[in-house]
Amino acid sequence: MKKKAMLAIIIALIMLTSTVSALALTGYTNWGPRIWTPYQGNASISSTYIRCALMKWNQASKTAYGIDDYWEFELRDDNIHSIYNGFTGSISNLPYFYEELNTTGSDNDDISFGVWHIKGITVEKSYYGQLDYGNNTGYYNYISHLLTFESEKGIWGIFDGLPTHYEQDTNSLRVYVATSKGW
Amino acid sequence: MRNKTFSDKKKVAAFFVTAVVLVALTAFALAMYHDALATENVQESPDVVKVLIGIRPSLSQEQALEYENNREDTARQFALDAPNKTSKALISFHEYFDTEQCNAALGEGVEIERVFIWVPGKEGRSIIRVTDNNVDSSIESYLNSLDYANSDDEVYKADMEELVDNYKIFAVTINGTNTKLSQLCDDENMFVNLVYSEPAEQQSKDLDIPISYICAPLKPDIVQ
Repeated sequence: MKKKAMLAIIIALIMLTSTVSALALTGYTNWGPRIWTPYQGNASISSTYIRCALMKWNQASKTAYGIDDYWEFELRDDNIHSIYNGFTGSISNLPYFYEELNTTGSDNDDISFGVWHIKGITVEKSYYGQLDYGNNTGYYNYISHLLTFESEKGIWGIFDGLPTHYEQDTNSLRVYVATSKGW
Repeated sequence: MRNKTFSDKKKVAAFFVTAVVLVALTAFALAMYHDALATENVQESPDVVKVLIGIRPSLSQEQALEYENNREDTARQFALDAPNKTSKALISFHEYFDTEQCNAALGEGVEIERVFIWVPGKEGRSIIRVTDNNVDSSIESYLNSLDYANSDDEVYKADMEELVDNYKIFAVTINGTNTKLSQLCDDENMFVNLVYSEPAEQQSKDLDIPISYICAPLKPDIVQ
């Protein structure tokens, strides 16, 4: 009796653990693109640039964005500032374009460019954004290293911005080896 | 004895069924919750205080003017409190400048960190790191480093071809003494916005998370 009861509990726990584990592997890391992300684009990297080009948004996205919403394209990794150093400039035809390279106070794990008023985009226009690194040598110390790129949407508050939605592609960009990913 | 065994079997079966039902219900609830998050990808805990150094889009013209006045008042107050201390500021020009006009407007005693350029009347911008306080050579060096001729993005290529010969400056970030920044506030051709926010700094300390200042200068055009 006790053995059977124990067996039932063990089976139940295994089922619960498997379910939770399966759920934990999905969700936050899957790439849509959903409504907060350009419906098409091409993310690419090299030793001298981080770029996302051929980006287009549709009317549904523009309508969904709030007036104080921002959007960012982020390249993420714990070693991102070793892989990319020696920033020289950024360039984009996006309106309200900004760069976000470093935060102060502690280490951070992403390099981004963004649009601080994303509702100001033009529907179906082809956009690009690029961060440039001149004589960057760190890149070649991380050959085959997997990088994550992310689309993030947030909202400006009274004095600070709060991220509200994001999606990530964790499996496509590898330093030097797999340098672009279109969708 | 037989009856007791049968009863035990019923209990085990009931226990097992209950356990399975409970697991199924828990999994269903977790799935619903997780699916909701996955669909929306809600980021529940921000890991950085992100501050917009610029005019929030939803502000009315009146509110924007009030914001500008408040920010310049803060810079003036900094000069009174700590005149020789160095602060960082985002300077937005009210008209496009060439490099000579930019240098003349800023005068002596500032370290230029970034210069913001683009073709007037056109959407987009380029933000360039300035080295050796030399705006002219920094812009030239950056634009020369871009391999746009071989790009398969025709929009980018066309923009670059136009930019190299037609760029103008609309903003810079600089480091200068509070006295110097306060003096620049008196120039009606520019808006001086300290790269600093007291409440954000406080929040950063309270939550022990880093702070990120987003420099967001408006261009003199309607087109941004």
